[in-house]
Amino acid sequence: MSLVRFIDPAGVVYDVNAAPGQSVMMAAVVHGVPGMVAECGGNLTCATCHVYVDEQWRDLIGSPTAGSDEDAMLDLTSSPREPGSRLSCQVAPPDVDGVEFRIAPEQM
Amino acid sequence: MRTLIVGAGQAAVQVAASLREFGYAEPVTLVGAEPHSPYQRPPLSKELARGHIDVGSLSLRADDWFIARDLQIVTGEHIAYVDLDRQLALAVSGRSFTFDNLVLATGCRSRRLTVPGAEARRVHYLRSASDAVSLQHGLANANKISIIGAGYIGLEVAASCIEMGMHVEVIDTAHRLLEHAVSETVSDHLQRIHLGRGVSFHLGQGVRRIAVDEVGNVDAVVLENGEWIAADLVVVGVGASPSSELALHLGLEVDGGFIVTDGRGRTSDPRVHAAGDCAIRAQQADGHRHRITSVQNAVAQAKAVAADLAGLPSSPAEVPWFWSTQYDVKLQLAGLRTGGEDIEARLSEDPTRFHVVYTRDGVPVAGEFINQPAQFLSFRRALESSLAAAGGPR
Repeated sequence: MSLVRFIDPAGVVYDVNAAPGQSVMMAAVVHGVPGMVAECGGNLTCATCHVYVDEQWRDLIGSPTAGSDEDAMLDLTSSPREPGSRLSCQVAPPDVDGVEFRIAPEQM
Repeated sequence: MRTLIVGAGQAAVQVAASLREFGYAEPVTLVGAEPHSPYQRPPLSKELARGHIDVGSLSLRADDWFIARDLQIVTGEHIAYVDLDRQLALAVSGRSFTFDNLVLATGCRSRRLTVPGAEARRVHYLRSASDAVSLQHGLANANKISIIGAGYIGLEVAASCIEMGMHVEVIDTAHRLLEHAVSETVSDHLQRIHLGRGVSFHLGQGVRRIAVDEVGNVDAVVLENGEWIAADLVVVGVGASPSSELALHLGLEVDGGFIVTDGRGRTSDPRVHAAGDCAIRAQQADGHRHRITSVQNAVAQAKAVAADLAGLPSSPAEVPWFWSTQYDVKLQLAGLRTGGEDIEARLSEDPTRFHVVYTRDGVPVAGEFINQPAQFLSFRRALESSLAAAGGPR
């Protein structure tokens, strides 16, 4: 279990426990974090689980591999892509507690 | 106005979630027949190869999510009788539930194989988490797997079994894979992938019977042409039929077992709504009736039901879409087709990535994408835009 922090589009903070094997996206969905649409349930199909990772966490979380499906789909997100953009269904919860994910304001 | 949702799958949970999102503050109860809290079904066929299936990790929502929204979840109760006039539902156990609004989200069950020997031990189906756990136990002591049905379930299970190093034979009366779901181009591509991984196919072949050994286990699958295919485990994936006993007993309009609803999820009786795999919309956005059993469809129907119960206008029609994962192949479909469209395969430089587009009067109406998720997303959005521009039926 690791504690993951989400900041929803309204700025509200949610600390949720991510179960082993759960993606960051699923951790938000099962706890009902607002703004996490995740239409396709983690199948890399919809680009509606877009999050921003602040610079201090980027080395820990990593970036999408250039030319990967996630990389291509991030160019199609509704909120603009930024250097810290990820599709959270492709992100495993980090081993350390408290890493922050800002949920992109527009998902669809 | 108490709402009782019969079922606790994807559609049932979405009705409950959307009711609360839409400001509905009355009591909501979900009653599921399965022993588990609501979970995701699509991963079951893919999780098989991963050692053990942990149903808890497949939860649709955390327990505290239901509690925070004051949603009552009842599991392990099979509703067998409903009296609409008395607003009462009765479970097999004798437990009763009262309601003002009734939502049927009873889903589908696996169509059973009916040939002689079909009741043998080590003949499996895959629909529920319990099925998946049982199948996984069976696979732990099996090597020769026969899969009856070259549909999504059959092919996804075939891929999982190959990944576990097993010997896999796939049998279908159809002459190609996913015959009713995809174009020949995609069928052929998938068949080549499976063949390359070592799957053997017996297409255009019916099953005459299941041969059983002296202790009641599967011994072989006997084809209509007399061929014996030795097997120590059989997986049957020959489709699903809607669980519509309650609907029939209530006299609701059904079509092929599916409960017919309008765009707001209302059945032929104004006191009952239906959503998910058990339901069929009288009309999709193209004006035709389509059997669609998918997560996307379950969610869309559920939102429509919740909007109607909460007194909100219905949201615009959606473009149906679906996916399947087999090995490293991601197949994604979007749109509606009724036959007679022009079909065009659009290849790329990479033979593992291409798509097929269906057009009507030159306008794309549906597409099948192989390993092109970004192109798929753009295509799906384009279909959505043209649907919105056309102001399709709601």
